Amino acid sequence: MNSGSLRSPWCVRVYTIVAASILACTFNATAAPVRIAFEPMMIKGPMNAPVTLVEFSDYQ
Amino acid sequence: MLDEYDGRVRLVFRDFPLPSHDLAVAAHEAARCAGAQQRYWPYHDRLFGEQPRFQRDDLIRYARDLGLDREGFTRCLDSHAEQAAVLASREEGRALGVTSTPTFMVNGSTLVGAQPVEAFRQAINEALRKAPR
Repeated sequence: MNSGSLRSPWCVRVYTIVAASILACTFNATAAPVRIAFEPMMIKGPMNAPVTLVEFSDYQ
Repeated sequence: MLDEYDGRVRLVFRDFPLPSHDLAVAAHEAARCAGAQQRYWPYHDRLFGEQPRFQRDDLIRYARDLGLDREGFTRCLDSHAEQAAVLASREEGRALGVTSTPTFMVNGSTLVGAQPVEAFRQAINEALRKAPR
């Protein structure tokens, strides 16, 4: 197995870029919207869920 | 909580390795390497269960335990192929005002630090009330 086959397929990466362009999360009511990247492998739950819970965490 | 809300909530995990944690970036890279083999969440859960044992050999052992292709995983880890994505995630967090972990955002409302389950329920319920139907 070469290293290329272990990476996300190109279609997923393109999808990620497209999704990132349409998903925005506002830090608070007055701040300008800040985009959050949208990486399918790091998401649990349905794509059309009305609520998105974003977790920024550190494993260590 | 995702089960409790039955399809109305999705969780988006973002990397935010703290600079003071010298093994954290590698751990986040390792999780993404596991994700390249469709095992992101099992590896993610294993890392939280093994804190702070994140030396290279530990990370490879967790991959092996989860049945990942060891050679491919090790190549990914050693090449730091996922490092740029991890660091970009941290920068994204900083741009949003994140300074500590964990930090949560529920449709834009921020919760900082370990919070009781009830705090999440309150934030999610509020977000559901405001969400377009």
